[in-house]
Amino acid sequence: MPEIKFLSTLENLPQARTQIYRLTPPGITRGKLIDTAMAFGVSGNLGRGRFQEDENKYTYLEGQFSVTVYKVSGGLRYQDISRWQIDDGKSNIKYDDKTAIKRAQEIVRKYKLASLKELRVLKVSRLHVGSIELATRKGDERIIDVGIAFQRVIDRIPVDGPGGKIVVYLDQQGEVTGIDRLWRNIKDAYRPVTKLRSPKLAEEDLRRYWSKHTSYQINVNETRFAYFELGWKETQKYLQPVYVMPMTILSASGRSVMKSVHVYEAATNPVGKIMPTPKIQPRLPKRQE
Amino acid sequence: MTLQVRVGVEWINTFHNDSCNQNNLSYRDDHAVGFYNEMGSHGHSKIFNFGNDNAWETDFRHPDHGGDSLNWLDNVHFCYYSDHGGNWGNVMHICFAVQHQHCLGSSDKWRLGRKMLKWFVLDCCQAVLNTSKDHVLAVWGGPMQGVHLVFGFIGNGSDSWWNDDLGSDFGDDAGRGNKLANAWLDHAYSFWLNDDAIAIAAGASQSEAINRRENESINWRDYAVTSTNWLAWKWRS
Repeated sequence: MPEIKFLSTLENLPQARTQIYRLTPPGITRGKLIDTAMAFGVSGNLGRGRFQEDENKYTYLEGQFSVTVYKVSGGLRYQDISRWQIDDGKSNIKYDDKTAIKRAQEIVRKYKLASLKELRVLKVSRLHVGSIELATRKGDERIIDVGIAFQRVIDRIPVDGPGGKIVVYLDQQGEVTGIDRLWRNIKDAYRPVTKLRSPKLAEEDLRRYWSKHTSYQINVNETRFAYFELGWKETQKYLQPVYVMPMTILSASGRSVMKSVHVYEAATNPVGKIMPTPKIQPRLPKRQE
Repeated sequence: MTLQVRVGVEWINTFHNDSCNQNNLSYRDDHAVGFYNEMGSHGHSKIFNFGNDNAWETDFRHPDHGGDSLNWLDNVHFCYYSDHGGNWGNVMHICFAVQHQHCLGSSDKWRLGRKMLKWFVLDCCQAVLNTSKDHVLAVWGGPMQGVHLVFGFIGNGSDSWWNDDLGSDFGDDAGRGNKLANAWLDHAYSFWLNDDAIAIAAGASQSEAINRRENESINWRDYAVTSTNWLAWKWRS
């Protein structure tokens, strides 16, 4: 049995009016992809561009631009491949988070990615490059892009999980080099949440789930109340409130650690189960010496 | 058209109640085997896939230190390891479920790239603890002996269904011939899991190391790192 420590707990029931929302299937087609690409200034002229398709996504490539849409989530990625995450050998970004956020908000508005009322800043990241000579230990470091991640907000509640995010990538001049948007459209309110479960039930669910699985120590860093949106390649029909509990799994020595996350439906009348059932590990044939 | 490369993966989800015990994990096979299968789907050669008790520390340790790396890790071009990792004393350690011959692999006993290895993914925690030049150099300056690029995390990574596509997504990009360092940062960095990713390239000169960091794909397979005089790295945090 692992020792499970809750480093920070949510003591009280969240005071929020929430709903369970039904989501619109994205209905992605090549035609929609072209429309999306054109919104980013790409010509969409098939004489100049080409399509790529795999199981999960359609991509349209034209010149240095790449526009991808994911079939089941509708998630969108736009990149200027000649500049996105690329070191031009001289850029060294000095502008601060506030400047980056303001510029990213302008991009969100320009490309109609979302209403600014529906998002909040999640994180500002920076892409660094460095080098060092082994013999002399001389080297350099620079910052070559800034990625601003926005988190969706519904009913004044943030959307947690891999989805419900917009990321804008900026270069030294504050010009956009890439955009990620994973933001499923809401069709309607499917049903109101009649009552919220106590956060203590979420903690009990976490204990039940992880006690079967691990043997040493788990530190649960916090409990967040949020709506939950899945990743790029996942079908999602409903958006519902959850408790999200990021945690750290420690080894016996405490030297080897791994992060993970537990999610528990917060409504007393949830739709389905979000946390996947623990995987059954297959027995492998023994390797010969 | 891309050059064909040889691929090997090792991963561990399940440990035993013995001296090698660690907390069990869930998604390391998704990561490593996802990478393996995606590379295979792009026509690359699937050489070995060792999971759980079949993953051995000797596969990574160089014969100078009594290991067998030249028949496994360094007998493929692209190796992907996924499990627990830790970094202390400027040495990267990776964990194994069986003591063959040790429970922990240690980077000070690796000679990465002495034979064939070009790219090595450490999909586990703590390839580096921070990005200070001295620390990156102290951990990786010694073990990188011909390998072109090493990929990993700054601090801790995640074992979660939120990022269980990491290996297959990276394998898809790598297998197609996309730029490797960018592909790793794209898929391994996570805004929502707070995972910070790093790619470290080697070169005989600064310009070569930077060129590899920025542009290397699997098509650079035969463009050897003749001497690891410089490291150039890229990370998002």
